[in-house]
Amino acid sequence: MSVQVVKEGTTLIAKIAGDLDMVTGSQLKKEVDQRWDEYEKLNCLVLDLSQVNFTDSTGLGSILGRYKKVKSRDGRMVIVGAKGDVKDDLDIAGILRLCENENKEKGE
Amino acid sequence: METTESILYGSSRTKSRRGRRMDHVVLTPERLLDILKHIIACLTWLTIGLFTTKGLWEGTWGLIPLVLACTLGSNKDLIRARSLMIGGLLGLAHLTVSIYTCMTWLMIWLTMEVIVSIGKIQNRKVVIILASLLYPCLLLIGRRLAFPVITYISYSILSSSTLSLFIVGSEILLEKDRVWKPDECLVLLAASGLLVAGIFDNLILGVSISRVFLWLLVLSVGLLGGPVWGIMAGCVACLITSSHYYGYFYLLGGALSGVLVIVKGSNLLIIVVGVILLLMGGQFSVFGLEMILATLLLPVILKKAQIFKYSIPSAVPLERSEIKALELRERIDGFANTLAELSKVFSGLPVKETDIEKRKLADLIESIASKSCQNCLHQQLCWRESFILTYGNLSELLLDLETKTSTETMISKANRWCIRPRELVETVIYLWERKGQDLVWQKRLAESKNVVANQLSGLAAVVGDLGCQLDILERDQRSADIIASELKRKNIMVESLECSRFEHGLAVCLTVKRRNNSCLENEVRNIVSRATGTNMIVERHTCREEACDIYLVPKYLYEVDIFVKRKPATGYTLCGDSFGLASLLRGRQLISLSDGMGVGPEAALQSNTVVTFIEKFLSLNVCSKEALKLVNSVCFLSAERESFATVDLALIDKYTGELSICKLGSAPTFVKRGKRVVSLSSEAIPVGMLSTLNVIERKCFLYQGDLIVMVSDGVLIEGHKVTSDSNWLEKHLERNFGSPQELGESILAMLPDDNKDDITVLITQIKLA
Repeated sequence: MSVQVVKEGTTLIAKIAGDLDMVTGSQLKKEVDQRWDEYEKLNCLVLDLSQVNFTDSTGLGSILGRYKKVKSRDGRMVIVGAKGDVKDDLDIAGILRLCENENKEKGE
Repeated sequence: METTESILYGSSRTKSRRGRRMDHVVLTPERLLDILKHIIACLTWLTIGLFTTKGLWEGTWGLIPLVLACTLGSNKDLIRARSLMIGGLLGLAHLTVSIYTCMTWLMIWLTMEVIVSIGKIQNRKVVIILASLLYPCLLLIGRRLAFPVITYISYSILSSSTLSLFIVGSEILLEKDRVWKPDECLVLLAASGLLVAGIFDNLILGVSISRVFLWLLVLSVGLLGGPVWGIMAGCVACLITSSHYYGYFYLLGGALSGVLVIVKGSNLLIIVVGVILLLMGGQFSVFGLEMILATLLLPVILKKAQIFKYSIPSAVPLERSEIKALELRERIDGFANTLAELSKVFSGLPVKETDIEKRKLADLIESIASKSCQNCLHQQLCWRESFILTYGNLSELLLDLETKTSTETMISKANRWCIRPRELVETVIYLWERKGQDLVWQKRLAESKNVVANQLSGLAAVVGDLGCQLDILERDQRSADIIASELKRKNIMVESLECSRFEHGLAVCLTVKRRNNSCLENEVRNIVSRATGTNMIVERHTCREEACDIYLVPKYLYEVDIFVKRKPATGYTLCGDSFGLASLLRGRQLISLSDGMGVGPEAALQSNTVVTFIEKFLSLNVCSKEALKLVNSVCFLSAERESFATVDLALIDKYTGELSICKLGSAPTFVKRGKRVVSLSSEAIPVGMLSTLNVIERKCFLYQGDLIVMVSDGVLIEGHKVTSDSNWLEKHLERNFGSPQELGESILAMLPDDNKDDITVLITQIKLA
């Protein structure tokens, strides 16, 4: 399990691999928040969940927490690569719907 | 029933073969008082008989003595019945001075004795037929007239219908513990009017006794039943007297007495009117005197007639408590509106974000000029002589900043027109970021304002709901009085009693004194059920040292059978899931399940807070949507760190079987009917994450045997690991199961022993009560 965070222009890309649980969730929070606070110009966070096979409530909490943080700066959060049960879990928690709205806005 | 004889002789009287013999006569003062009371009662009935024969002679309403005598006789009160007949005989003899009339009366008396001895008044057809035959005979013999057949038939019809009226009236009167129907009230009014009109109408000092009694009837009905019934009584009096001269006064008197119910000292007012009429002289003075006499007698009649007060239907002026309830509702509505306005003020406060957008450039340039160029040698040149050029260059620099141009590029660009390019660019970047920080804080402030606005809006909705509840829970003072009198009759001391109507019937909230240190719950329930004619159940019951609080509602149509089991994640002793089961007032069953973020104590605290607050808000009759919004606000404001909890909220109406479900970020809920399973998924984010929440409430009707299956996400995840099928639970539910317990155990049996996440299975089955 790992969290890789890359800054590209005003976008921060977090790539998560493995299970998104309490441990990975804390790591995601630490890594993303540190970089997000470091660069004031950042206005978009992309969470790449293509290599995530499982997520629990703590993992979902860490994603919602990042959404909250990004929104406080009027930024955007995009989730990419979610599939299978992870996608279902995100859907149940209403996170995909929030991000889908973001995607729509982005499309506009 | 204790007869006069038994009272006279007491229990010490014994019977010998030779007949009745008085062995030990003990005449105590109490017994003497009883004897005196009975003598007075007999004399009263004798007087009634004496007076009412006048009516008998002049109209069909005179059949009262026969009905009254039969009624008394059927109650085995022969002493009074015979007193009445003696009175009637004397009255008739005095009035007609005819041996034939008296003989006919004796024949009626004999009829009464026969009726009483063979089968009583219950056989009303016999009495009516006899009356319709006897009454014309009485007139025929008494007046020695030869009737044509048609007259005889007319009198027969009149006598039988009048008698029917009296019999029905007497039966209604015996049922004093229920609310009469309006037509029953009219029957009673007509019967009472005829009774009063039948009274011996000799003038005493110029005053008509029957008119005094008519006044009494009109005033007492008005005071007991309100203006509408007062006017009705006035109409009856008007018809009976057949005089427009007095008719207007009766109508006016009935209306006035009804209106004056709420005014203390209304009797005094009527006396004043009477005195004025008295002073007017002529016919008015007699009428005024009759009014005064009737008003003076009124308290005695009212005291006796109070038991009928709550049997008279509607048209009663508002009780003071109801007026207070209306005032309270108005105040609550006002309070709710104020809160809503306050909410609008908060949400409508100007957010400076837009202002910043508009003024950002100008402000920034001004700040840069004052900070960076203040001590520059070229300030005069740049800002006075080449103002437009400098302003344009700085605007371009800010545009570069927005398009994320690197610092070095910006410096090289500024180098073309500024003597201190690095210092300028650093200042520009610093001020730009500071403005950005301001923007973040202003956004946070705006968000807080939104939270407060939402809180106020939620509170306004809650308070508004409370105001509406006063409408739904309409007070029912009449039922309260009937129940109170019934409880009093059974020697149950009532400290407080309130009845209110809700959509499924009557709710009774009462506090009763304990008897011999034992609770009277069952006894009270039976009495209230009997008094209201509804099968009532005890919904709330609290026993205190001296009294018990009992809340009764009509019996539910459905009841619920619930199975719940939870298991903490392996390695933890505390389960992070919490559930709430509560039987709310007026037949609502609350079932809630919350999954706190993560596992262990923190998750348990979070989920438990959610479940507790939901129950608290719903107990206060707040609707599900508003309750969840308030819970979200509480969690959002109280959470120092990121945390959330999912919510599954189901409310079942046990009177109708209506199920309403709200889901916030929770695992699907399944509704199973036979082999058919419907899955309900969440459509909103969990509580505690964002300041606003969009709650969707779904409703459906459940039938006997339907199952609602709620699970935490741990169940689905752990089951998926075993079955490798994401729809395993839905497929499993399609099988047949006998009870919620059997189904619950079968689900748990499919899960592995070492579960990473908390597991909760909550199954509810609805069945007929």
